[in-house]
Amino acid sequence: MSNSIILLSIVFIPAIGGILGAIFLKDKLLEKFVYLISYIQLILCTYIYIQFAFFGYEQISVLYEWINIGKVNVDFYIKLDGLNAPLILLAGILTTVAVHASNHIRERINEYYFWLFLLITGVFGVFLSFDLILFFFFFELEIIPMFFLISIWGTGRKEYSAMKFLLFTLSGSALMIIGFLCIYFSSGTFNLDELNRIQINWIIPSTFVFILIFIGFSIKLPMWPFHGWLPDAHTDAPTAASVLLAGLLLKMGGYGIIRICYSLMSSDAQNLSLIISVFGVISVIYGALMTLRQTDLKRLVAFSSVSHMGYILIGLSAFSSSDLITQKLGLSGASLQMVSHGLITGLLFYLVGGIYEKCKTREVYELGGLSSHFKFTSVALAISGMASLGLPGTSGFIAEIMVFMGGFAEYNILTSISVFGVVLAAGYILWMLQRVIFGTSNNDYSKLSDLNIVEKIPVLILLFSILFIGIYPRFITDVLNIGINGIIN
Amino acid sequence: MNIQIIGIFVLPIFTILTIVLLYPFRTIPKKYIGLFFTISSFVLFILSCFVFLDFHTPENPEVFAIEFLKVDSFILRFSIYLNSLTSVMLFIVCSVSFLIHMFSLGYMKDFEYPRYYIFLHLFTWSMLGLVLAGNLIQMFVFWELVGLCSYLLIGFWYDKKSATDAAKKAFIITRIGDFGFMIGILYIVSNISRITPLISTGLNSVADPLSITSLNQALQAPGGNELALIFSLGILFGAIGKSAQFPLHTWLPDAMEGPTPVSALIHAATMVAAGVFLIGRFLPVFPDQVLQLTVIIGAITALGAAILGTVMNDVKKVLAYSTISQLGYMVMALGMFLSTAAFFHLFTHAFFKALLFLAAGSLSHAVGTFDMKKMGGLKQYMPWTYIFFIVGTFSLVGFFPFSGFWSKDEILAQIIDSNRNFNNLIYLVGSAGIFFTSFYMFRALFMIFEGNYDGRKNPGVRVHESSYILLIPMGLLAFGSLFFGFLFNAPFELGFIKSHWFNYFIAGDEFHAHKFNYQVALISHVLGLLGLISAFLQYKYLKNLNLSILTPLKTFLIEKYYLDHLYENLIVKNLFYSKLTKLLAYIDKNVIDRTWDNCALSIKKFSSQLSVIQNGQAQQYLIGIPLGLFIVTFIFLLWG
Repeated sequence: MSNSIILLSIVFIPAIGGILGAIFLKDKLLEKFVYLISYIQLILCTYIYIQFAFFGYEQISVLYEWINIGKVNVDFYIKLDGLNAPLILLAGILTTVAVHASNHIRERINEYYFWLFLLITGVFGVFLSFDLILFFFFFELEIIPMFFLISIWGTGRKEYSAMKFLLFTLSGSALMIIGFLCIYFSSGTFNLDELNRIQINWIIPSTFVFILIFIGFSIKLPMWPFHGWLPDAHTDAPTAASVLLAGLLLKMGGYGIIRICYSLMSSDAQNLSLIISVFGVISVIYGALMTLRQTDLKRLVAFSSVSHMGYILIGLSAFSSSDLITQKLGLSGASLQMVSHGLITGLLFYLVGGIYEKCKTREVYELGGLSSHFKFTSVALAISGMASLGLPGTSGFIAEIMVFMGGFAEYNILTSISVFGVVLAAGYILWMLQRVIFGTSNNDYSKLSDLNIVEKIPVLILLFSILFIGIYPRFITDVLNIGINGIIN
Repeated sequence: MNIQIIGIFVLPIFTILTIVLLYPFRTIPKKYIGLFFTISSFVLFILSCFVFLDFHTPENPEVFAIEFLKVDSFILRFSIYLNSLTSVMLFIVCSVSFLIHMFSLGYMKDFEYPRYYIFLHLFTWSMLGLVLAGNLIQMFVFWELVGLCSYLLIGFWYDKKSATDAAKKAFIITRIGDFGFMIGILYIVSNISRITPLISTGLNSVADPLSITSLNQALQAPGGNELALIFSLGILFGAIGKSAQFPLHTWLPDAMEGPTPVSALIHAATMVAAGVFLIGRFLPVFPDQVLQLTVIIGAITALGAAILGTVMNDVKKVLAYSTISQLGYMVMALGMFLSTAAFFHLFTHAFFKALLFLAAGSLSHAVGTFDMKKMGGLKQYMPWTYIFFIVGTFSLVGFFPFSGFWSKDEILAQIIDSNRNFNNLIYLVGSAGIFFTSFYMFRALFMIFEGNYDGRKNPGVRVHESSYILLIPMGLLAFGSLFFGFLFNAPFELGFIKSHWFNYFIAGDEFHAHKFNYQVALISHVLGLLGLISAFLQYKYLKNLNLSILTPLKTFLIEKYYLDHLYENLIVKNLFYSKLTKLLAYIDKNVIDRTWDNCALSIKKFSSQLSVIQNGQAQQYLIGIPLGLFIVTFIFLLWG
């Protein structure tokens, strides 16, 4: 099988499989079928990543003409390069995790899997698109399924949260499409490769376009002060949706900023990087301080995401440096932080979902002493917590130190403040661990059992990935460097 | 020698992985796990002996470089750095760790947790990794792992809230120190382009600018020394956290919540030694201002902690404050640029402090408590423990010819000889510390062993001497506490052992032997004896004395200078949690969230108002058409 066919199937297997499965299969058979699809997806993603990483970094692309009206030319153009390859691997892993996390869904499962797989296709499409309209198409494609996943299968104030998510994201999209159209009218093409090659004659100041698109993406990221939708959406979403939301959907923001804003409007990115750094620092510290107050486990993880996404902005701010290595450290660090945070937060949400299924509560104060009965969950929660606070040996450390090394060279005071976020992270993570897994429990868990073998698989996959990247980071960073080279030059 | 080094680095993690992977399949019976780990640590000990005793300086101290991370020309190389200091530290860590593993076999017999030995081994490995690290960032990696292991072990009894509290406190406070270390690292990395040209690539074909050799070289070179200030401040800050120096020392007394052998390991060879070791690695680049700061911090800690030791009633707390105080001596010596003396003290301290902690463990094993008020008269029940405790005490106070004497005397004598500012003042502080050290140690000794045992205080306990598995490691440590100081660093030649062997070993030819300073030794002994006598008097006659003048002072000391109160209640609880985060939560809910909600609501409102226009009445639309036409025409006329 040629690589481009695999690339194409990575985008469409989830959607086609999801639609077919949802229409033709029922109950148990459907559940087995979705496992099958998710594992095929995981294998394909791993295969294509290894193909890319170990066989000469050859870019793999697929190009079809799609819309062709007069001068307007929109292509179906997807491509795998160093920047999105690790994200594809991440998405493959999290697809499997999300499917595993869905096995407690009992009602309307056909619909559920339909939306879930449509969402996954959207995610893969966004990461692979090299055409602005196609990018936008997939970017929008993911919103509707997420809206339904939250509002139908969620908990708590689910309709409110779903609507909030929808409105925030759509406002971002609106700004973004204006920006894309500005790019088109300034250059006459939507093709990202083409745009990178030619000199764009801006019809309106490019700074304005940059800000439009940047805000669009930073709502998705989310950057302070656009983070309002995130805690609500996370808290009320079903586990699988939380995993995908935190693990992949947020990464679209960061990825989009690098892929579109930074590569097409690099001088604006450099001019504005002080502001980006300031917002990054605010996100880091503000997110961490807010996390310290949360007592709902999901909200806690959600707010910690705000903090961790701030590190991406710190890394991005290194772009203004005149030193090429600083730029690359910052940008690679930011990209690695996306992968790392995807794995760690995916795991945290998965475990929290598991705890919620068993104990029927997510309130930190109602839990406690889990380690006596849920040994596996507790160990996994402890390791993922340690990864979240950036302990060496985990992917979180590598990403954070790269971000800091890049950011510090450019804005030392601001980055130093954000380094303090690591101390705050130790505060909230250890507090959470102490309350949840240590101590004695006030409830009776003796009738409950730990995760079963099928439920353990995603945990093991994620733990392995987190530790593997922490011990052998070059598996990812070497690939990312290739991608970042493409962006910087 | 390289084979042994590789063995030392690989063996512990290999053992851990073997157990972690095999244990879930029930292939190894639980009771053999401790033995398995103890054998592994014994092999480590043998290997470290080879490295230490057969040490010859390699041509290139950095060996086995691996490219850990690579971004263009920025390469993070992980390597092993091997010099005499490394080999001494390897010996300390491996020997103490082995004896503690052995002690644990008896002490933790009732709790056959594989978790315990895995953590203990991981702790040893992390410390070995730190000692062997050849690169700044590699050091940070293992530095953090050491912190993690101490967190896991202090919170070992995880269902006890006080244990998890103490673990959390240890981790967070040391992490505040790590923050400083991190800033130091980042500062160096951001100035890497200035450092690279300063490295002479003599033996290394490619010099790693972040390696210990290069950094020490570059930051002393002209042009590089201005970078040294912030870097060394960062290093010092990290060490203050890890080595429990004022003002970040508050975690160490609480860390007593862990099992006693763990405390012995933390206090003797691993966690707290890490900070001293880190300063020692980079001491040559420390500029004068930072050295002065180091001395001040060390001196405050040495005396301040010793004073606190005098009022504690928990034997482990007494020992904890004595550790803080002794670390203060080491840091003080480092600040006076006396790295050989500091490391010699670290070396002897490792043995007698481990001994004292294990003795405390043995006591609690017999009596079931660490509270010295509930002990007393244990001399006749536990003769061996008594003897070992005396050896530890004499060594800690620094009486001739115990190990502690040689090393503490070395520090004080060299401070007197030093030509740095205020060396006399520092000497006075150090000597005053001896008095308090002697006082609290003999106070503890009398309280525990003298008098008559009152069984009513510990109901249900049959006091007995500990078993051999506990006594043998203590005996070996007692041997070290007795002879190592003299053997390794005697002022005159001992057969085939050169005089000042240790000093020459660490410092090489840079060390200049000095004459044995009888005055310093005499003053130390007088002060030690004074401490002994006052402890005796206090124990014998003033036990129930309540001087109302002294009560505020005593409360002040029992409250540990109110530092815990300041940090935990005032700063964290009141200021940080109740005020700052509460304010932010309010802002988040009522300002940021509300703003966006209002945006959405006002659009909704606007659209509902706008929808009035679209009412389906043709008359109104008809009015609209000319109106619109008029406006358009008007605009066109205006702009022409």
